[in-house]
Amino acid sequence: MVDWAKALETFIVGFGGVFITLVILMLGVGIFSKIVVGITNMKKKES
Amino acid sequence: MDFSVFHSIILDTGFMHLTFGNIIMWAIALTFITLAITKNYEPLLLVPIGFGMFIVNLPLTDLMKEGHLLWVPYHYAIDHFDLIPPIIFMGIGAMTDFGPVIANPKTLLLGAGAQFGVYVTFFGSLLLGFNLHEAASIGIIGGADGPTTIFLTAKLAPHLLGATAVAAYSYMAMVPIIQPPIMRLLTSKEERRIKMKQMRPVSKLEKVGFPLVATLIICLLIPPAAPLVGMLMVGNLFRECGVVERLSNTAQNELINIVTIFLGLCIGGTMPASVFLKPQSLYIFFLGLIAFCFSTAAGLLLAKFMNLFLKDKINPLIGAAGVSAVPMAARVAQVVAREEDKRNFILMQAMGPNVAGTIGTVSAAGLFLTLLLH
Repeated sequence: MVDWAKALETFIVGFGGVFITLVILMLGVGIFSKIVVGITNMKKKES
Repeated sequence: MDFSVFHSIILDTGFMHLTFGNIIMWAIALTFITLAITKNYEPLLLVPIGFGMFIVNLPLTDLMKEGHLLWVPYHYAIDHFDLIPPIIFMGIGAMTDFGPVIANPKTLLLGAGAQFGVYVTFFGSLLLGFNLHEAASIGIIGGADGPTTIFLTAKLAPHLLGATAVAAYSYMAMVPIIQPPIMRLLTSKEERRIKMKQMRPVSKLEKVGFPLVATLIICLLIPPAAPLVGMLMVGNLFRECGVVERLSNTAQNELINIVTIFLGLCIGGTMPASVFLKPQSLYIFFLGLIAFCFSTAAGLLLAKFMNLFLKDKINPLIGAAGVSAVPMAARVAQVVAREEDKRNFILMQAMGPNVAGTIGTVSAAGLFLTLLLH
């Protein structure tokens, strides 16, 4: 007998979780890139 | 003269124990080996898998019995300690350039959207009578990522390992056949002609920092994904840091080749006729195809949806590359785009969702483990 409640939970939390994880990764990578590019530009100006 | 010796020798030959099922499995093994050699379909995997399948279907060889040749690597490196899939991921990491994802992080969303097929198939499998653990192992085929499929199935439904692994690698090999019709069906000519802006150059510091940032974020959010994500990213760090060339070369050549041999033979070894020739194997192949088609379609449709909000439009074909299958899915997106416009080059842009798809599939597998094993 399939536990449909657990299946639904797996779908919602699972698929939603994949999206949330990758959205957070997207934001994390974006912020990291901005910091690196900012520092690089600052160093260029200084030199 | 004692003829009983001859009698027992004859009885101990494989011929006396051959079944019709064994012969069917030989034919399937031969088909895999032939496709690998003549059509170049995932030869690195299908040749050892085909031979492993062939040899375990020779009666009385007992290679997969406890303590025997194939059982040892299978038990210790796949089933019990899941060592091989993460090592393969280290090699993949060492071969992968994450530059397109760093240059355009939005493509990570396409990697997430393309996991839709995983969950559609999860439900489809439940409707066909599989339990939750089996359904998750079948659904993950939609991610088109062989090592992740093996990693998850070994933990949740090891008895399905042979069928799910072969389905995943077969569909990865058939990306150029399965995806283009779906791509043409769900996009207009104008959409396929969209030219994307050239990506910005990515600095070395960004490339070195990416594996650390990605490991930090994913492993904190989904700890069970750590073996795969960690190894993928350490392989990538070897590649990008530029000071451990020997380690990078080993990870992407010798090491991955050695474990691929064991992986292929062991996966083939899990397919004796008595285990494989069941209706559920056919269901798994059918459901795997459904998963793969839905993942492709979801990636395309999400790309079209994103275009409603983006100033610089993206070519929706790159959404289909959100299934892992690196780099074949990206190449297919390029081929279909060039059918409409010979001067349209979207390969590098398609590599973004392609590698994001790998991260997405690993995340999906980690979440299945979190939700179903706790």
